[in-house]
Amino acid sequence: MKKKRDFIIIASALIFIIFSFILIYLLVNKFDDVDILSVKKEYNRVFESSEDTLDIPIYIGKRNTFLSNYKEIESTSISSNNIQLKASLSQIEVGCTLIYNRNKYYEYIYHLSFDSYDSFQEPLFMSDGLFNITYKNGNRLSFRIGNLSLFFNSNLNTRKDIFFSRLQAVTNEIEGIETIVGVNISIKNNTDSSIHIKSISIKNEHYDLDYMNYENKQIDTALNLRSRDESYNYTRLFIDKSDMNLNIEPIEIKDIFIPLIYTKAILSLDRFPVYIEYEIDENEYLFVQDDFQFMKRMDVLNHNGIEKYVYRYH
Amino acid sequence: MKKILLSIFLLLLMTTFYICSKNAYAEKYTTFEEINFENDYVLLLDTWDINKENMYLDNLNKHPMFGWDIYYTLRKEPFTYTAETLYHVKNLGSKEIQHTFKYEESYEETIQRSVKGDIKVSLSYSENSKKGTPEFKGGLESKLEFEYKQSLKTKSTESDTVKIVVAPDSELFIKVKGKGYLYQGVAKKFFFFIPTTKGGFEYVIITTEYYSIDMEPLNTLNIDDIDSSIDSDDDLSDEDYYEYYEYDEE
Repeated sequence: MKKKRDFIIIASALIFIIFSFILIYLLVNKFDDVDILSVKKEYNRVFESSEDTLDIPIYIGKRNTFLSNYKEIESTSISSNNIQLKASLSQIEVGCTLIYNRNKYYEYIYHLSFDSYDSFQEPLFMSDGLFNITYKNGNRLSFRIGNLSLFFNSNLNTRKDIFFSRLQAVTNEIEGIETIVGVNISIKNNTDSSIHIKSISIKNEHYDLDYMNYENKQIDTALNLRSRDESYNYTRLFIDKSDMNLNIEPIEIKDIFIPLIYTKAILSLDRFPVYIEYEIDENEYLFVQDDFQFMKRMDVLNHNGIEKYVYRYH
Repeated sequence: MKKILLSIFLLLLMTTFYICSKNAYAEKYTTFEEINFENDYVLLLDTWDINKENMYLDNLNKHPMFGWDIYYTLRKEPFTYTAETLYHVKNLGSKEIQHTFKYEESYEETIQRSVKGDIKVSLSYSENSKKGTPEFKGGLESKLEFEYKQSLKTKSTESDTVKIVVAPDSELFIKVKGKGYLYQGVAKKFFFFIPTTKGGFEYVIITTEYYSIDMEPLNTLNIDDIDSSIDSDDDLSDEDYYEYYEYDEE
């Protein structure tokens, strides 16, 4: 009888301990915070069709949460001030695992495509843009992703009047930020007529190619431009956008260097398209070089522009 | 008798370790077209002779019971490099072509290693990567200083592409330059105070890559090109005459 009573007491205690553990485990998981990081970057992109996607990396402190589950997402958009651009989420790509401030983060790359590919002549500029995700459970999260300059045109480069025979960035470290300070460009005239180049630009409000001050030579390295005078000012409020007046004769190749000027602050640039406005026999045309990755920094979380968010389960 | 048997056993064990670990291993940075160090005294591991290796190994004097004794000969030596041409498209036709270049398969590995002596490199496979990630074998990897290793990204996104127009009778090259840091040293592994593995190790951490587009005219048609044009059917479009070459990363 005593043995039976002891058994019941021990069994009850064990059940109580097991249930306590389960309860604690569930509570800990239920109210656990999830750290999320977004990186503020300069997105300069050209979209010709739904195959061209805007890829936004988000770093989440936990794996397999609803935050990175494609099936849990109802809609996505990009917004800035009064502009909101609806986007379709084509996939969430699982990236690499990184450490930031001693915490582990899992990279998820959200691939967004857009519905409208009308032939715009100017890029849509969105300053301090937000990436918005609406989940099926009613949650709506917004992440700061930086400045966006999105050019939608499904009818690009139908004429083949000019080609780039060289495209190369010249970089430098300014105010502790390694960024692009100019481009070496070689343009070939592929026609039988003289081509009048009016402008070569990035069409961005925060920085642009200072094409009016182009040089008829190229800088022979893509690495740090140490040779440039240290007093050279890479920031200037106003960039002259007059007619460049560069003429290229038939079959001629022009090798030039164009400095890149920042209008507000030095920003970390690595990828952008190049827009060339030109004339042949007084007819105006636009050539667009698809956004080219000029440089790539490997330490993605080791520079400025990291925004931290905490999601708390309710 | 027991002592003799134990000695023979240990001798056999060490011989097996020695025979099995003599394969040299070096990753792509050792074959870069050009690599320039900021400091002139830097020499890559593969230029070491046995005397130099032994000289550095003499600096190891901790002799732990188990594990590694490590001596760095170089730390965080800055360098710049020019890699081999990563991508090459040849347009043999008379019309321009639009080519889409995918960055994904072209990035250099962010951390690259090479070894000398008994030290080896193995491949580990994670759930997201079909391609193995190399690491120094025998627990050496975790003992080394990989400054900000964990913050480095090693691959691009799947849709990371750029469209480039290739002129007729031209070839397009995408070239890569970059910069990073080099670390170099020697290490010995001990098992009950007996050294079982010893040799040199070296690794580079690539911090930035720079890409450029270069297009050159096809001035000289070689015999193969002429032959292929003659053999081709007249109905073939210009696109049929374009070739592209992707350089193997391995």
